[in-house]
Amino acid sequence: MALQPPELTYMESESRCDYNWTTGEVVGTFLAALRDHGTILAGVCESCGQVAVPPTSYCESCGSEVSELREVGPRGVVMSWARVADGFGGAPAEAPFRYVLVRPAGADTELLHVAPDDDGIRIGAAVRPEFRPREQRGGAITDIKWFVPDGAESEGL
Amino acid sequence: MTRPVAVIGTGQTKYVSRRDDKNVPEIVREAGLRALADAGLKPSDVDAVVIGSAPEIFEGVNYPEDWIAPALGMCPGPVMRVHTGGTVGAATGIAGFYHVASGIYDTVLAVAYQKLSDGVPQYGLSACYDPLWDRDFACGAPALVGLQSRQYLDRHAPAVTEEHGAMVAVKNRRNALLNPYAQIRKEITVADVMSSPPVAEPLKLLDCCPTSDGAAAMVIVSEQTARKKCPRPAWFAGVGTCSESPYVPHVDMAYPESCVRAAQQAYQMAWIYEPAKELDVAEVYEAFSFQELIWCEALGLCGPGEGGKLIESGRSELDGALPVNTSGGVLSSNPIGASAMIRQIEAAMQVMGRAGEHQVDGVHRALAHSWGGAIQFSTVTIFSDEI
Amino acid sequence: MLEAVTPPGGDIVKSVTGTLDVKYRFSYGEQYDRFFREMRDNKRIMGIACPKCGAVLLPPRPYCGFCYTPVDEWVELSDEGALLTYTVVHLPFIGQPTEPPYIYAFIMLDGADVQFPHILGEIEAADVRTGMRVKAVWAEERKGTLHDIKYFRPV
Repeated sequence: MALQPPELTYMESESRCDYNWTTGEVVGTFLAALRDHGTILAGVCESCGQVAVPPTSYCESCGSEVSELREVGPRGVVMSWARVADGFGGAPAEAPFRYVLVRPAGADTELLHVAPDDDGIRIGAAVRPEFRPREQRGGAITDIKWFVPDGAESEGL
Repeated sequence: MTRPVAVIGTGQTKYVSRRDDKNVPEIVREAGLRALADAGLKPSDVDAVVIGSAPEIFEGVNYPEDWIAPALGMCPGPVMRVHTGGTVGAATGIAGFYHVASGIYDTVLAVAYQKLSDGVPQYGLSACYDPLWDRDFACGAPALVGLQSRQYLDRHAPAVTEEHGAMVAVKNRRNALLNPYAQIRKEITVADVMSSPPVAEPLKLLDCCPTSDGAAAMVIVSEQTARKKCPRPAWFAGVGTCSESPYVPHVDMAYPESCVRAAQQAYQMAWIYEPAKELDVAEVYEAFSFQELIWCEALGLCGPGEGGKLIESGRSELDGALPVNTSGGVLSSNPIGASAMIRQIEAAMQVMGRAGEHQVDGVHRALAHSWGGAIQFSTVTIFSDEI
Repeated sequence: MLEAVTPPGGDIVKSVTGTLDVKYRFSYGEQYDRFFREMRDNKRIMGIACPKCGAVLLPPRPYCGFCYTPVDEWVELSDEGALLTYTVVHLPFIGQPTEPPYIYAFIMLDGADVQFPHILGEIEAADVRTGMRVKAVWAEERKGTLHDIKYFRPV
């Protein structure tokens, strides 16, 4: 039989699902520190000593308990980046912008965030977080607006 | 038949309507670590992990296995996620069984969970239906089981009545009082059930399960490890799974073919000829009260149309000849993705002698059943105290 | 369990809210397309017959779900049939066709071997009986969905 006529080939539908995700104590504390103090907390594994950011209550490397939260950064090193040229629905920043993986000073892992579309954002570059004004912070990773170049190459951070 | 495989440890979280103190990976870790402790093992002893949960829309996080596996302390390592409608928890246990039975892995941690309170369960339940067909008319699981229950009651009237469904709810809520993990631990009467508000007739509020946050886990091992670590392992004696199409002729929700076939497969494997006589405990997935009677019939624990007689006789009570849902059942706790594994865990614990206050004496063989989807998925798992 | 460096003052963030907003365009495919055009334009309900096992199937699809034979023989079904089973829905739920309570039903249309899902109207819940004869009441304005039938009423 002939292919479908254009007016009856599909049904449009929309789902709008609301969520309320519990964070647990460690993530809840990390988010509160962003909001209240403009600081980045990492978790320290009691067994292997890995310093992980963002922190989790269990070590993702060895599975042991994470017993301590410790401030890291705020400066960090760009481990990788990717440029987004065109905007898309739900984008975390206005295009063009760069995604960055930043390892804050003192941490063993990276944070995923965004940065301006600036050639100072390259692997090995030193960056620092720009936090939003206190009244605009709500306890989310976006309380950091983005990471910006912090001058010269990282000096063995 | 495969090489012998056993459950030697189980773990559960206390089921509640909202765990606001932990996130999803943390509640799964809680159950996983408990199961490992129960088995006398550590995370580093685990060779592979199988993770099961209902569709992602419930928690709103895609490929959650990515998020959860590291919380179980065995990354990097083999991880697989399983999903089969409401039977997912049992399919996860069965997938764990396949892993070890294959000879490739020795020690497997099977975990199943759900955190329904993070989302709105109706979105997930609604999205299970075909949007081009009947999604708009149904109201999730209650509508479908309302149809199933009506078909069952009409077929067997007057031998089975709404009061028989109420008696199931009363029995299981009473059993839950002895289960420290159960969410709803409140005794009710038949009159309470019959006067509770209608949901999807003949289902009334107290004929229906709650929604829960929770996780469950089982440690599944080879014979060598079982004999070393466990005085009384729960051996997998029979396993059966079946999925049928809901859109074929003669679909019978009141006596589903997939349930009968899954049971046949499991009974054959376990050399069980008269299940009503040879089984000591049964855990069936009664998300709604009448389903306990429907599954008992389809599993051959009583004859067709005899569900009413079964519940009236006291035979399925905790102190009866064949106790059904000693855990309190799904009517007492329902973290969807974990619910089918909780049936397996209860059956395994009964065989291992670890069911605490709801332990039945002299359990040699226990059955765990589950259903899912448009009443088209079925699983049956049988544990035994000997190979 | 945790010896946290908890920031003084201010509570921890106990939960994070968010919304997943997703738009869909579900393709009908050839079978649904013809089925729903017949409903919309001709007020006809069509089934598809299997040449091997003889079953007349709903909704139409390219293979018989019973014996897996390819099927393409379209059969006109009656818009009348017997009530297979029903439930009175009281639970408010997203996407419902009407405010509860309403009667959700599986109907065996004359000529079909698979149930047709819909709702009943022009009848009190207490008067519904399994097996009773019901007939479709078509909507004036039809768009090519199951809502092209408003409800089934007793015959």
